[in-house]
Amino acid sequence: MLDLYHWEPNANSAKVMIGLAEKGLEFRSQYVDLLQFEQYLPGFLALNPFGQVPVLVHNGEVITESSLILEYLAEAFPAQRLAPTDPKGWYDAQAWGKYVDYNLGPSVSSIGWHQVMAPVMKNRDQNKLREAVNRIPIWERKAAWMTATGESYPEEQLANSRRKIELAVKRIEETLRRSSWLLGADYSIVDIGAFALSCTLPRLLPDVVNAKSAPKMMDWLARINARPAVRKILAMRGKAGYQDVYAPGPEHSRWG
Amino acid sequence: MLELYHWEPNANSGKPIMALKEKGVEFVSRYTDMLNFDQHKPEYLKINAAGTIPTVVHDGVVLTESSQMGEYVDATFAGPPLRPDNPVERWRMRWWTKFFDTFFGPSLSMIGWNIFVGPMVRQKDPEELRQAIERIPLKERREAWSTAIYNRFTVEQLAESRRRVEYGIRVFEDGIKARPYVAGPTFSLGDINVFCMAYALPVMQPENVNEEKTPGIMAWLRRLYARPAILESFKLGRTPMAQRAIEVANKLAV
Ligand SMILES: N[C@@H](CCC(=O)N[C@@H](CS)C(=O)NCC(=O)O)C(=O)O
Ligand SMILES: N[C@H](CCC(=O)N[C@@H](CS)C(=O)NCC(=O)O)C(=O)O
Repeated sequence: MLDLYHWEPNANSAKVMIGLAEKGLEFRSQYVDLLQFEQYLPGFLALNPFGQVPVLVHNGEVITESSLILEYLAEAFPAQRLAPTDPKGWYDAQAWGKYVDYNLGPSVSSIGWHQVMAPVMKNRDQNKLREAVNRIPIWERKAAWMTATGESYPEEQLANSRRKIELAVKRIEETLRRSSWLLGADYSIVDIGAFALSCTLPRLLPDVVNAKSAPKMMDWLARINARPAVRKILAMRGKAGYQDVYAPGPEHSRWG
Repeated sequence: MLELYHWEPNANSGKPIMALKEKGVEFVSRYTDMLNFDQHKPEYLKINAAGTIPTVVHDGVVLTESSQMGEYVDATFAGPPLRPDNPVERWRMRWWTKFFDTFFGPSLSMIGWNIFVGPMVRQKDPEELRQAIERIPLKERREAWSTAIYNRFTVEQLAESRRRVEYGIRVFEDGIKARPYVAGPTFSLGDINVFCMAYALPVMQPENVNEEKTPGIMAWLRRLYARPAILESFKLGRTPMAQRAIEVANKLAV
């Protein structure tokens, strides 16, 4: 039995939702509304004390961290592995997972929040919002939400996020010049992870990701977008009331 | 042939050293002196363009991510298994590795650079240092070095790092007191990856890591220090950092 606690099919939630769908694994969808702070309710914190989605519960075992969930699924369901078995291929899959988490995760979240969610949140009752943020029981999450719902992010953080996205786009584009998928000839969990974090970039940063600046990446996004499993997951979008959503999720590295 | 470019047998360099020693794989050690900026020299950048340590070079395969090197070693060579068979235990091995890499490690490292790396390199010629910084390929590393060399750590930054280290210690104590090793009943790469960052805690953070407050961590450290391959690894050290490991071993009376 698989239960997946997730938010909208975007970013880290989408990674695992698409991963499960591509493998043909049925799961019970447990929607956690991050903008209603459901990730900080006691029931959810009992599953993940860090207050983040996605969380997979597989036969009672709680599995967290989106990239590690994809690696777990590759090993727990080897018939639909979607990952290389040779040592170097597996290393590359893990190294890409880390690269995506480190560079795209926090950066897309910062810019997406700033451009798309911050204005939406300004329409909410600010007193209620402040109360909700003040009740967040995890120190660094509360600090993150205070910044996000207050002044939003400083110029320097946004510029740094943009720089990291540009580097990642360049790396994806260069890789796709050599092979059709990020790990070579086969579609894999690396494509799924990178897609989940970059599929909104043509709308979010159209000057960085467009048919001229990143033709291979645009084609790769379209190919993944057209896959039946991906269509099925993206059709689950919209419960939060917006098409593209972002959460103040993953942190930027504090040191090096 | 497997060549390993590494600095001291701790933090990121320690991970592949200990994995190779535990697996019983012969390797050529290429000591790369981080305090002499060897990792930014043109010869090294030809091998690893990011200018970070460690790097594994094995029959033309180049690996630059320390936490994943062990999985490659375990899957490639014969020797005792360093990963559990059970997928949940494997996930747990990786979860703790990631927790230490992203949450605990950077904060502990910042404190270490403030008290150790910064003061050591500041004695060098300022012009030489300026040029050394310019040669660093990664922006993140350039900023870290500038902060350390010009002592630009802020009080808030260091306080937040101390808070995270203390919190991380409590999280790890809760995890490790439930089972003998990081992943579960057996020793794995997770123990190596965590140990490389936690091996000196009883002497660096005696007020937070001790018999009363963290009996689980102390017992786990004893299990790790009792392993011949781990002790063997510390012999590759050339600075007082490796000496610290001996101090801890004595303190734990291993
Ligand atoms: N490293 C984690 C990051 C997860 C994460 O940041 N999740 C975001 C949504 S994409 C979240 O739950 N944010 C909730 C919050 O910050 O309150 C992973 O990859 O699973
Ligand atoms: N590639 C990453 C990071 C490696 C890393 O940052 N290593 C540090 C030493 S522990 C380094 O190379 N520092 C050199 C520098 O900052 O110039 C890994 O292997 O985990």
